[in-house]
Amino acid sequence: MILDGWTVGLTVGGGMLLLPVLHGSLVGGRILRRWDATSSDAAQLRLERQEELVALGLDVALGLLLLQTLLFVLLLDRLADLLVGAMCATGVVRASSFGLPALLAKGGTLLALAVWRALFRADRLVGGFPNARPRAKVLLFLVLPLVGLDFALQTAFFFDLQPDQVTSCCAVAFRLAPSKTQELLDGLSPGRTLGLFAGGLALLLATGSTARTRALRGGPAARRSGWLFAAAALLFVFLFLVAVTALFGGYVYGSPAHRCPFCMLRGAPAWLGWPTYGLLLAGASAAIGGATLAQAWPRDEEGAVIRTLARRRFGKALLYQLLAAAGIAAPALLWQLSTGVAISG
Amino acid sequence: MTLPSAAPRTALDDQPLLHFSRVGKSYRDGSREVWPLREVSFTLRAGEVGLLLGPSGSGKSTLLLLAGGVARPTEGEVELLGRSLARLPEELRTTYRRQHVGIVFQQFQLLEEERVLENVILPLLPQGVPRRVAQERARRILAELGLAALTQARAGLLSGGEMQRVALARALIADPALLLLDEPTSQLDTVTATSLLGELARLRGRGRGLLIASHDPRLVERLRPDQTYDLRDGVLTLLDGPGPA
Amino acid sequence: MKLPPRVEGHLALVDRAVGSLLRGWARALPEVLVFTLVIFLCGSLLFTTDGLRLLADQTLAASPELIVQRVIGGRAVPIPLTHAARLSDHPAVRRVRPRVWGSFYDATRQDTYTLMSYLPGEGPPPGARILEQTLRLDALGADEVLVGRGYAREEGLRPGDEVILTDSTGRPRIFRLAGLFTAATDLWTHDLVLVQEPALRELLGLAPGEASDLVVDLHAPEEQEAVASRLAGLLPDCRVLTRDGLRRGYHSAFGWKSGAAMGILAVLLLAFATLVWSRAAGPSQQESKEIGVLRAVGWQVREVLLLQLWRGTLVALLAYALGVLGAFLHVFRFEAVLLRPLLAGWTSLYPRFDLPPSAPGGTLLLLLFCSWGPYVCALLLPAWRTALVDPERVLRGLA
Repeated sequence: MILDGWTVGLTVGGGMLLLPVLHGSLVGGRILRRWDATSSDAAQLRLERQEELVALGLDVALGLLLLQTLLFVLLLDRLADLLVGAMCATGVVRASSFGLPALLAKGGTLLALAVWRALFRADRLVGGFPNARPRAKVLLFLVLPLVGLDFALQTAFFFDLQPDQVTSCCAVAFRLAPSKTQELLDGLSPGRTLGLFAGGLALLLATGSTARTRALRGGPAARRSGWLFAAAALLFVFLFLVAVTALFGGYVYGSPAHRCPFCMLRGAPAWLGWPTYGLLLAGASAAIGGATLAQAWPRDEEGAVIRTLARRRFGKALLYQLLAAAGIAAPALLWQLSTGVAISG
Repeated sequence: MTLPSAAPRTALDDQPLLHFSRVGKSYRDGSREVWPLREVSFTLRAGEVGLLLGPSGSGKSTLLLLAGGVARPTEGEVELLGRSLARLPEELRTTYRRQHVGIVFQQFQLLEEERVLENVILPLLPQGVPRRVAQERARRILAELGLAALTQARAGLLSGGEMQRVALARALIADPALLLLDEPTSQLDTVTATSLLGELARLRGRGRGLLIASHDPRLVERLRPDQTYDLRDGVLTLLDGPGPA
Repeated sequence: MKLPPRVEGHLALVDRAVGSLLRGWARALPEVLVFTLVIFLCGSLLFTTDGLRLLADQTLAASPELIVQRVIGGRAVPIPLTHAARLSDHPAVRRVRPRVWGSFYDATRQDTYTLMSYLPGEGPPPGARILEQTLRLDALGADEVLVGRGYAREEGLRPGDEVILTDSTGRPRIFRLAGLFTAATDLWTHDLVLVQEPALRELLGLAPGEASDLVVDLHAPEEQEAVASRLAGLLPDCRVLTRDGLRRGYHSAFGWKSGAAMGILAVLLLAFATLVWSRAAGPSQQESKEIGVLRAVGWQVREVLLLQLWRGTLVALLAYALGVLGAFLHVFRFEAVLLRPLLAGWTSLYPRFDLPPSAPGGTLLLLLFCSWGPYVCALLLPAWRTALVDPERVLRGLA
């Protein structure tokens, strides 16, 4: 176990983050049992008013979660000092089997909250919580388990790590030469990586523009293309990270062997990690939010407002992810322009 | 930034501003059910004044709270600008109220710790109206009501008549289509009452609908209401006017 | 300047929140004070550990990559200089230097001090100031010593004074104090007495062919862990310490202490949250009236709740600012006087906390995370009563 001010602080704060989500889930359970939009009795009125508190609580939870994710990444970097062989966050994440799942759980929680928030945004626009039940389900069956899982994994991670534990640094984890051991990303040539990345981009553009066009029309086709785009955006997050570790990282750091996805979060060059990963995740959550909106517009008469909103979300998602792609590929492209040597070679 | 204003007057001229249809309201008082209002029906159009007479405790305040969407009817239908308030969720009723209704409560319901100006701009604050704009507007309305000198006074230190006018200023700040007034002249001497009634007449001339609960005979003389009702034991009787549409 | 309505709305809420806090400052005061105290304590802890880490890093930056000690029966013994020759042959090794040092016990003060000789080439990093006086380390006279500030204070010594040390046979020897080390090197020089090598060998009774330990510089410092294990294989009677290992040791020692203390503070924080909870358990009659009026004039439930949230956030931010400022002054101006009993304890002299002032952004964010978060959550949950205030009941005087 690693006990220090940071791990204790993150555990306490993370526990607090559970509270608004738990409260929301309690109200959510009541909504699933008793919600009746046509009724105007006192119980229904209470539920409607409690919904406002739940929404505010989840806003606070989102703020805390973003702060926690930021601090968690900073902590990973800090802990590198304590582990043998870890030069940066990569080594720390690899030092425990809970490391990567804890990071993924944070990302998953952010995306789950994006679904809830999209539904709530629709309710806000239309008024009167037409999506109260779907939202309660999302909260109970998606957000709550993920927030709990995130907290459990993070705590398990802190307990599992040992000071002086031997781990490996990013240079070993993402090394260039093909190795017999089970290192990541063996045999992914620059050409193939570039192909995958470009394919992901093309898929993103195709599904994104389709989703945008169809969003205004509504109907099952719009729903389908919304989810297709959301899936493409998630896939692109994965391809993006693969491309960083297999190809682009080397150009970002200006050293072919150094392709760690974490090192660009700790300063040079230009803290490139924060804006690109931030845009990537914001894009993915906008895509999921848009798909949710396209799925769940409540009534036909107010549908237009929400369809417009869904369309705007799709546009944002596309823009954010393209910007992230441009940001990460820029050093490689600049290198190719200045040297004339193809990066795919 | 445009101030939220009532719906276009021209379109309102023929449409009923406020329509009650067989409205009833009940409370639970311990095990007993109390019905302060039963089967109330009437219609008020833009530019009309409706006067509710009746002894205190006859259900006048309840009727005004229903008209403003603060309370939900137990049965029947309350329509404001053609939209049913009874079936709206609370959030939308509140939105409707702040867009279209100004209320002067019987006990004024001012925040007594705070200054007059703060009280008057309350309805505009959460709507994103810049504070400067809101305060400018509040000063103008307060000046029209003869309170220019008191904008910085603490509301709790005012006389009854001054409080009543502050409450009216607060009701007017969002430029509502419908104004609900509960005993607006009860605390006023003859001179102030006259000037207030003049102000109300001007508002009516500008196309606002006014629903006034009062038993002040001066109101009948000065305003000459389009409809006068008597409310007794929760039952509404038309004394003077065209009657329910 | 024209702002979007959403921002204007929030500004208006903040404005109201400030107004109501100023009007009811006496009610908010105890909360601000208790909360400030909690943040002050957490902040002092975190700043202290950050400062200690920084100090350790600064000092270690100038120290060798590897230290080789000869261990027999679990006890460090003098290492023959022939070992140094064997290490020098290893391709990864750039330079090997024997060190002469030891410790002595002062029976009258019941303290242990460290004796060291100056090692050529082992100096402070360029630009670092390790001595209070302007003099060259390698120009020290045979009977001159330099001491750390802790030793000087305990013995009441000033430059120019006589320093009496006993040698291995028990005879007293007299030296002259030439200078003092600076506060920046306190972590390592606090209890240090620096003597020229020949005199030190006599004090320690160390034979000419032996050294206390060997320090090894490498061609590739980042490979120190790997080289260390290979050198240990080369010399089975020796153990090899790495600079990174020392750094880890220090960091985890500081971390462990601050973690344990933070755990205690977490309990405090929860107790505080409960206090907030009970205070906020329901709106008072006056608050109910305010909420009822706001709702009646057209405020939504969420706007009333946001107002509460802003009120809480302002209290939290005020306490945060005061607490952080207080902690900064406490640690870096007043040498963490309240925490000393808690974090002290590597030697009896240590610590005097003359830490290099630093307040890393990460630590400030962490403090915000574990202070604003619990406070606002503790405030939000009871706010459900606020949300449930029924304007109709308030206006009828029923609430």
